[in-house]
Amino acid sequence: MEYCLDINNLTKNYPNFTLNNVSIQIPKGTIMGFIGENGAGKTTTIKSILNMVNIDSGTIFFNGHDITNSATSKDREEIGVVLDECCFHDALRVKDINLIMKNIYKNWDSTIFHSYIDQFHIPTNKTVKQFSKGNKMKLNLAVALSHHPKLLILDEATSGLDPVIRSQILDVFLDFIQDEEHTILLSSHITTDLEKICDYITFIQDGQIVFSQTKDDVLERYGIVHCTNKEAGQFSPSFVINQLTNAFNTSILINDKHAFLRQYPSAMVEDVTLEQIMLFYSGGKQSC
Amino acid sequence: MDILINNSSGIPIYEQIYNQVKTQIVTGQLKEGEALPSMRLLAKELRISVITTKRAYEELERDGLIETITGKGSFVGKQNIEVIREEFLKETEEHMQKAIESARHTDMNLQDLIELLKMLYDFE
Amino acid sequence: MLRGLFIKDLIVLKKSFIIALALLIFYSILGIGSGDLSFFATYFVVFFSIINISTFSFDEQSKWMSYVLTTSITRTKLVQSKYLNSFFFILGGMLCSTILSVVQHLTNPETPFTIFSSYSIGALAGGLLFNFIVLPIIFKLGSENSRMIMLAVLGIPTVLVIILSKNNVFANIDSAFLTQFLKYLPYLGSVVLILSGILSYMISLNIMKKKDF
Repeated sequence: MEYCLDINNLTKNYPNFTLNNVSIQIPKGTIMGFIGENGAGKTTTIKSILNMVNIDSGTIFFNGHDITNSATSKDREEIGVVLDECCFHDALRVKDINLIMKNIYKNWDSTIFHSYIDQFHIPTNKTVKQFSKGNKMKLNLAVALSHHPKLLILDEATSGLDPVIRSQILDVFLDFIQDEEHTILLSSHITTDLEKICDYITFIQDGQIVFSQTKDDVLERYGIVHCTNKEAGQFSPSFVINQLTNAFNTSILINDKHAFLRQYPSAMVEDVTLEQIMLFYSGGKQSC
Repeated sequence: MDILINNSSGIPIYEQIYNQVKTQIVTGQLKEGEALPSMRLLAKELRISVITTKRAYEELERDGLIETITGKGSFVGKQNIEVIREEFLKETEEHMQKAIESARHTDMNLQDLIELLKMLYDFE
Repeated sequence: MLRGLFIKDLIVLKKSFIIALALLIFYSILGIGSGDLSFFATYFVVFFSIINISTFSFDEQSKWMSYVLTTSITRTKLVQSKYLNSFFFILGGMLCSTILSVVQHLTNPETPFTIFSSYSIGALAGGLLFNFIVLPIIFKLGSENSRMIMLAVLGIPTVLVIILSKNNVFANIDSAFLTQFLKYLPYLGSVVLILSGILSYMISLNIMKKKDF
């Protein structure tokens, strides 16, 4: 299997946080969803891939090239990036940005750029300062898509966008993936979007990878058991990831619902969402 | 090709695709040699993961229903349609056998049974 | 590739340039017939020396620097672009001051016509030196934190000169020594400028290579 991104034992130390031995492999032609609480290490991982920070140890390969702490310009040309904040000066307009990016990227395609501007309804007669948050993000996305990248990396790029435009953008991603040489790494809090289009899900918590599997596997294998507080104790701990108890019942996140049901056929087990998985792992109060 | 996905049916999506494609092949809706949409196109249109469609196609291929040629795509296979039809016939026979056994516990005779079958068939 | 960064800076600084142009016209008009415009000529070189620094705060406001490092612009190129900016902008300043000199000369043919008056060369050197000192500091600390240091770099020599002249230090310098000194100043000055430029560039590169964004 050819990997677009092959990250091994990535470690980055900050005074208050450590990204610890993170290993992620993203096969070419797939969409990898990246979930985790704020501060869990998603952005640090992405910054490490993009060489925005100097990592302490580990290796990162992009399409077979070693880009650890140093990517060539050629490699960078093939990576399109959307960060969580708009990165263009207030005074710029769409045509200015086209002019600037044309002179930065070798493969800049003005035609594609303008077609995305049209498709996303981005105003061409206003300066960035006057853009709404949604338009700023759409602009960043249009730029990222317009230099023929092989890999798209998006860090919380769709937060703050309404469901309609998000749906449009998901379609753009699915279009992008039609080419098997294209890959997407998408970090997002909008887990429903990830459930829709991702092929793989990586979950990071406190700087460590909890799991990195196909989305189908994750949603098929994990489950939630609902039982009385008394019954909760009887289940084998090898199944239990975490449980949440309230005055009236207990909910347990289990890691293999088919095996669980074989062992406890009368248990009440339901399917799980990515959001619930995150909540259980963090031990927070759930809101089913 | 028609594919309808039910997100709340409890049946895994790849299985739903598998079942629907299989049915369409067996009933002749999808003809021998006919090209199936690519896994990626199917994933895009249904807005699901390409790994799901890949799995469905792999199972269909494993069961001899389709053939995937790298670089060209997936096509409805030739030989095993008859075998599948045989399978369905056998299944129908088994269900009918069960129905007859249940009927023997009631006061239905053969004619009643035929009437019931007709009614249910027309109702479909 | 660096062209893209330069274009961006030009567009972003458009307002500042328009102000400079307006001032140029204003002072030219003011200077018709009057005497010495060398102060204003120098002013332009100073203005353009500082303008390069303001591109940093624009960059920081919009988080441009973090973003541009994800493109094919490497950290080295980013540093190069800022140094090239300082050359180009200061040359622009010299152009403006030359225009002013021409206007001055045309309106008052008695005043000597020099493209390179000692004032403007001094200002050029001063502007470059200012950039060479301040750029590594801004790369390291960011424009917000560097403001005080920038004021110090500008202010301390100025204050020093004022104090020294008040105390007649300059008047007491042996004139023979002064003549010698002034004779060698251009050569000495160029060497100092080139060396400090190289040193400043190396330091900036080093800072940027290590920096986390």
